[in-house]
Amino acid sequence: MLGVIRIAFRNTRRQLRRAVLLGGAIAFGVMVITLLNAFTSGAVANIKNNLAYVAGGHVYVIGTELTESGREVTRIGDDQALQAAVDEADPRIVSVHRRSEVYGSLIFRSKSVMYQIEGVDFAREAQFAKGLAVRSGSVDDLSDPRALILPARAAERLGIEAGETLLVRLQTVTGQENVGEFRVAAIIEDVLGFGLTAAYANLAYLNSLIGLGPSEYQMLAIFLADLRDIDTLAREIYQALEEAGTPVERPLSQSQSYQELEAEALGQLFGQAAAAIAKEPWEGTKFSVITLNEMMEPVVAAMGVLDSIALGIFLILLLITAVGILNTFRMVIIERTREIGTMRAFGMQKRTVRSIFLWEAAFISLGGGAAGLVLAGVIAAAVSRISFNSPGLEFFLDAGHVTFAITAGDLIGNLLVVLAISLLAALLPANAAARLQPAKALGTHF
Amino acid sequence: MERVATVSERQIPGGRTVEGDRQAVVELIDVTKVYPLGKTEVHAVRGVSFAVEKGEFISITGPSGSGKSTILNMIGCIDTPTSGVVKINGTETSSLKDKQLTALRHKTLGFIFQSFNLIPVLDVYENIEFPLLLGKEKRSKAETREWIDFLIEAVGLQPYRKHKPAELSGGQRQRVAIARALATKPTIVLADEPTANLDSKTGLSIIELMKRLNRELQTTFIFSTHDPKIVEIADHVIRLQDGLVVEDVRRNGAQRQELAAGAGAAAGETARESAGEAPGGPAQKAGGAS
Ligand SMILES: Nc1ncnc2c1ncn2[C@@H]1O[C@H](COP(=O)(O)OP(=O)(O)OP(=O)(O)O)[C@@H](O)[C@H]1O
Ligand SMILES: [Mg+2]
Repeated sequence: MLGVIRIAFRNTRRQLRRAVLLGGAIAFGVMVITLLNAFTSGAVANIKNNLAYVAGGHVYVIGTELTESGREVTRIGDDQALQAAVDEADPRIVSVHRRSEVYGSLIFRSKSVMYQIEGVDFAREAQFAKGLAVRSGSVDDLSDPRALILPARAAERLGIEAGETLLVRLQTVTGQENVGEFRVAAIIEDVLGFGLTAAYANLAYLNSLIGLGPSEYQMLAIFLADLRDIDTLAREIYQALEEAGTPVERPLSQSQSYQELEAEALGQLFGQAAAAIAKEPWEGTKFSVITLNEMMEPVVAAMGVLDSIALGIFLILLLITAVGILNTFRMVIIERTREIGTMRAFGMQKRTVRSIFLWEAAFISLGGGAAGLVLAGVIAAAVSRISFNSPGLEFFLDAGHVTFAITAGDLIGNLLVVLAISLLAALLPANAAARLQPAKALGTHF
Repeated sequence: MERVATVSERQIPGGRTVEGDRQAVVELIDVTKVYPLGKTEVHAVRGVSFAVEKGEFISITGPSGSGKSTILNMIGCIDTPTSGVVKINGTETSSLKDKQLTALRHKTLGFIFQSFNLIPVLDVYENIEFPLLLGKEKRSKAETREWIDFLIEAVGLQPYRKHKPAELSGGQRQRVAIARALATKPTIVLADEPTANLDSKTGLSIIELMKRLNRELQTTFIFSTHDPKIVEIADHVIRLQDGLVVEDVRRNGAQRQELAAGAGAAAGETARESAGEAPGGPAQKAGGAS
């Protein structure tokens, strides 16, 4: 066995140029698939993080109430059941945020921008404001109800400075036009592009502008320590709410189609009533529990398509390589016919002859595969150093950097595919070599 | 199967000289070989019978196309006869499957080729060791090493242990091939025109080396050649013509004498002795069943 491996290894080295050509083709294929896989996984992870940032949590509970006229508004008026369901002492929970939000028009002098404003109970979430990257102004004193924390890009568009006052035109939850006045307490760095971040205001003040009571809110967002706990925690909250006899929307992941899911998730996130879905009337606040994972499903699906395309390219490259291996090995066997005859004469069994060639194919493919991985690693390391500043890509990036992430399972899986295809391609010529008649292989003089 | 262990064990003076003690290690009985050639057939071997006894140094000679290689291939179990019986060490080969034939080759036979056929990726030591790697026998590393080193020394290639075949001359390569053929301590070593790719002086030294090892290890050597000078060194000559045995001569006297004289004789002396002595044994004409 060792002798066979030694011969196979030396043969691979003997015909180094061929081995390098074939191995190079394999390396290229492995590099492409690895980079694409790593890019999509990295992008998914980044999108998830960015989405969590934009949506302000990993698990969200949104309340919907019916007005007397039968209109649905996003509001959590009575949160006793919810408080009970979300045990803030749960070690899996990092932080809990109560939010109201509105999409309004920020007006300063002659300029205006449409922007998301989130109402934050600064007193209750003392840590929140401290975590922001302040460019100018200060977040130390937010006791002024009209205090507004504005992302830098929005501030630039408006040409506003910290300390100046702006107007916001917005709609109340029942659809009435309203105008509020805010004072820019601080300008913060954008973590994501324009429009993907939000401005932050005092919850009670924002509530008063959108027609909610001072202690009410629209959404409870929870950040978890470990993203793997998302689904379990969501299920637990849902069950707790249901057991408390509170009206609660079935989790989105259960028995709803993608389109509905998407429409509802987005609709609820942006504070619009998901009117498309027929609902029975209810009393008080009806909760729905949404998770980051559910919001990610379309993204994951889209990335899955990208991965499939990558796999397709990979397989085509491998197929071409397989044809290369087949032809090369055929040629090699013709060249080494006498050698094969000699080995057979000395008592090498057919299967051993075959295994020599299969080992050679294995060396080439694994060598090429390893080279491909190294190459992919080098390229990934180089690319992830580059800082991209294009707003269109930002959602895929981690603070402007491409992230590559790939699991060991995927790496090994790809290598196994390469190995399997190479062995399959080599099998035909290897069998032909094994079948060679020793006397014929040796020619007339043995 | 009996194995050669050390040289000294085999050097029992006169131990194998009694006629009745001799056993046939190769026996051909009415062997024919027909090659299909397009629509016609080539009758390469037309009914050949002869026996080779253990420890013989036997030459198969005859003009080109007379069937030498074909017969050696059949003895070597790398080709099968069209009809007739080939017995190796008493085993009839026609009933054996490829796997068993391969095992038989490994256990019993060694090969030396006209164009050396060393494995280019292996060095001298590894080439000689190669046949040992094909078997299932367990040997200690030290044992293997000692044996290969002995063979390297026996063929005079100590300074070339680590050389690749490409770095050796033709004569040196053939010495490696001889050592390789002996690695598994086979009963029979087959050599199809081992000197054809060498100049006559080197060729002669190769045959002398083979002869010396034949005596020292009691390994049966069967070789084919065109060269009358080399034929003379053999103690058993089978002459072929058109696929038939036209002469089957033993020179047992010479063989016996050499053995009695002791095996320490240098290879050079062997050549002189064999060449100098007229065939002593009775020449028997064997005309194989026609
Ligand atoms: N594979 C084959 N197919 C067809 N004919 C063959 C084959 N091998 C040998 N022959 C024929 O069989 C006959 C004997 O060939 P063989 O090689 O045994 O002769 P040889 O005595 O070894 O000759 P040489 O001294 O030239 O090596 C020749 O006529 C040859 O053409
Ligand atoms: Mg021949």
